[in-house]
Amino acid sequence: MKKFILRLTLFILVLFVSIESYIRFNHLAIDIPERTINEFGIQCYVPNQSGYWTGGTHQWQINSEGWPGEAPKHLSNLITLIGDSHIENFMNEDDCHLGTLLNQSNLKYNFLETGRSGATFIEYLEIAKYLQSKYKTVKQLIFVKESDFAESIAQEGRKNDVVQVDLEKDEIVPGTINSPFLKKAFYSIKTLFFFRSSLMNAGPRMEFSKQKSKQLQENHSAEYCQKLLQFIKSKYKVDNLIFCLHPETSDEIVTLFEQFGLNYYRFKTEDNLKWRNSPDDVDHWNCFGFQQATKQIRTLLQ
Amino acid sequence: MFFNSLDFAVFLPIVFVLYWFVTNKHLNLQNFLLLVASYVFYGWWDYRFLSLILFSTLVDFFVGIALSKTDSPLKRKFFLWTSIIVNLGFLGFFKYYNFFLESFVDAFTFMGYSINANSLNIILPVGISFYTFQTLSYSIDVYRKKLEPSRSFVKFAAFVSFFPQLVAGPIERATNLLPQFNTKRVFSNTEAKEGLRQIVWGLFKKVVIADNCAEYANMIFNNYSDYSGITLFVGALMFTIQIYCDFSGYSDIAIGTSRLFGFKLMRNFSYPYFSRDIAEFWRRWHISLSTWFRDYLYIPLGGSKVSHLKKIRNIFIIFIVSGFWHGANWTFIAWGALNALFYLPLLLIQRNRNNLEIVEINWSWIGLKDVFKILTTFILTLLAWVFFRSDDISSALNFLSQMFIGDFTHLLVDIPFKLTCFIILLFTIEWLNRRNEFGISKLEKLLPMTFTRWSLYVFLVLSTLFFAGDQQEFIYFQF
Repeated sequence: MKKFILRLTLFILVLFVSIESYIRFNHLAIDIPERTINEFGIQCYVPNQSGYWTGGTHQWQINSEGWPGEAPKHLSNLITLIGDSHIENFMNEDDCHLGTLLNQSNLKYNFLETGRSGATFIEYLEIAKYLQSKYKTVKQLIFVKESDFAESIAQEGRKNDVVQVDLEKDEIVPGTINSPFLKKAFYSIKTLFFFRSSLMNAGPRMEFSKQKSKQLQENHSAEYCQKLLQFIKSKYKVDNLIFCLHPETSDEIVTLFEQFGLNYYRFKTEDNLKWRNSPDDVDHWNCFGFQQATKQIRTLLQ
Repeated sequence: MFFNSLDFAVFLPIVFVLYWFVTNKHLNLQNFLLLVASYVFYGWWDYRFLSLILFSTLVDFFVGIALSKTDSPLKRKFFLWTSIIVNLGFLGFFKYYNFFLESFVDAFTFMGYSINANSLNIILPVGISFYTFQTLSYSIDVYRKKLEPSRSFVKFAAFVSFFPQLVAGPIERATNLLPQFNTKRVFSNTEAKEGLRQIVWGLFKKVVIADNCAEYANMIFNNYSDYSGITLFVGALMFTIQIYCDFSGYSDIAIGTSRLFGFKLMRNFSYPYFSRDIAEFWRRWHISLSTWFRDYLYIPLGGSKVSHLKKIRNIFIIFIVSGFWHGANWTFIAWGALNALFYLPLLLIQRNRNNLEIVEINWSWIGLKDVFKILTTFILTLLAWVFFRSDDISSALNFLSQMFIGDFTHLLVDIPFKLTCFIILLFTIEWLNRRNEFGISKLEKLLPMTFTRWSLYVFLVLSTLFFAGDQQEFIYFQF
């Protein structure tokens, strides 16, 4: 028995090294950038990192400002593009990033993308406040999806790692980075990360619960949105903000933005599916989607 | 619980540790652990059907004891028939009720009578055909006085529900498996090593080959009217490989798992696609079922020691019943009948026991004559599998006619190069190691260096993890 256990342990070790090497060599698991919380309490990335997207199709980069994508050559006359993984856009190459496309479009402005996956709607406003003070931005474009509203409200489920708003106390609840050391270790051991991701994406039960929670959020998004917009109007300076609404945003939400007197623009598409990164992925765009969005922003800013 | 699931990957080591490190001092405790583990394993799928197994176990346990207490032939027959009626009654109700009902309705409608009958929405309990036959073998063997009845309910219940082979076999004979629950199991390093190898090989066959082939077999069989003759042939070929790898893969995992616990199950597959005639194929395919029918049906009917006419009758009975065992559909009966037709000429010219040993047992190379024989047998089984896979008889006939008369120049599906390589690798390994029990059994002779052996194991595990087809249930779970 002892011999068997020893040999089995050794084999498992060899197997583990082989699996880890295979995953790394073929970039089967995405490289996850390291995060930090800056002196203003904003959660961004550790500057000057790079890594591979799943499958090794392309590399992502974190620029010197601590945000994904290429930084503009100059930070003057700056317009920032704020959002979550939609703007972070690791799934597309740098050429298909909104910031890069807008910087190439001969507008008189410089564009800096400031996307971070998981960021909430209220966090966008906090990021905007910080960027305004740091860069004296000309304008700030905030990219909003309906699913962003519910996750901003602490009463709807507290998430420690993101900024939320406590509507009862009428105050911002800051986010923290949960167990950074453990996370780093977990992301470094690709085998664990790969199989966890595979399991998360598998199984009809999990899909069902995801769909259910998403449906629940969508059913209440107008209610959440109204509460958040009231809060924003009273707490933030919104003059130079333009809320860029996802093309699939409902008319009810658009009306709320109008009622609260906020600057907004809803993207127009002839076929929503053509913009999507994959047919089921409502929240992320493909290169075509970003090219079309660039054209519309260009017209908007001219 | 599926063998190819994360649940089982967690379940197996836990039971292994409890078995060898916690309960190893007491045989009864070990048997009890196996019983609990087996009920958990089965209940994971649907705990409600545990009552069926328990009831079947109780009936056969008490029938066994009752048989041992009486010498009266009438009473003994009564007890035996009680077991047969209860076991086959469950099987008949859950598996065949709707089939018979619908067939009667169809027959009456055909004769011009209109009758109304409501079919029931019955879920087929997983593995019912397997454990029913296993418990029947116990009652019959006790009745024939070939086996002493079990006096310990825990041992007997553990034998009936032994988790590695509970849901898809091998269908164990009580004379082989039950005595193993009576003796203390001693851990064997060699057996455990072989067990793990067999599990790895079984998973590779199931997850990499069968599940990937299934994608193409399903696509082609489900839309066969859209495809050319050559494409349909490829579809039938994909199913032929899928069903072998799926079912023999399951058997490998079952036998390998049993080895880890010190049990020796009977062999269920012995390289059937290297057979040189249909008789040899049936000695190498689903051996536990073929031998079950041989011992409990064919021989009692007189076997081959009867007149020609009765021989023919016996062969048709055994093949048709075997087909019907697989499922309540005329396609399975047709599949059985077709195999009987293929088998019959060999029996009548007394060449059904020509090829008892594996092909070219002493030599790696093979003569053209044997190649021809193997290919002919393979094609015959492939044609029969079309009935097995099709939804109904007319679909099977249309599939076959389109396969033969359809366009044979345009292949309308692309079988990935990787899958082709895996299939070639599978049959190459099986060919090279055909003298041993399974593809990578006793590899020390074939690959003397530990490094090469371990590289092969690592390759097989990596393939299982990264080239898995869309997870599919084991085909034989439905039987």
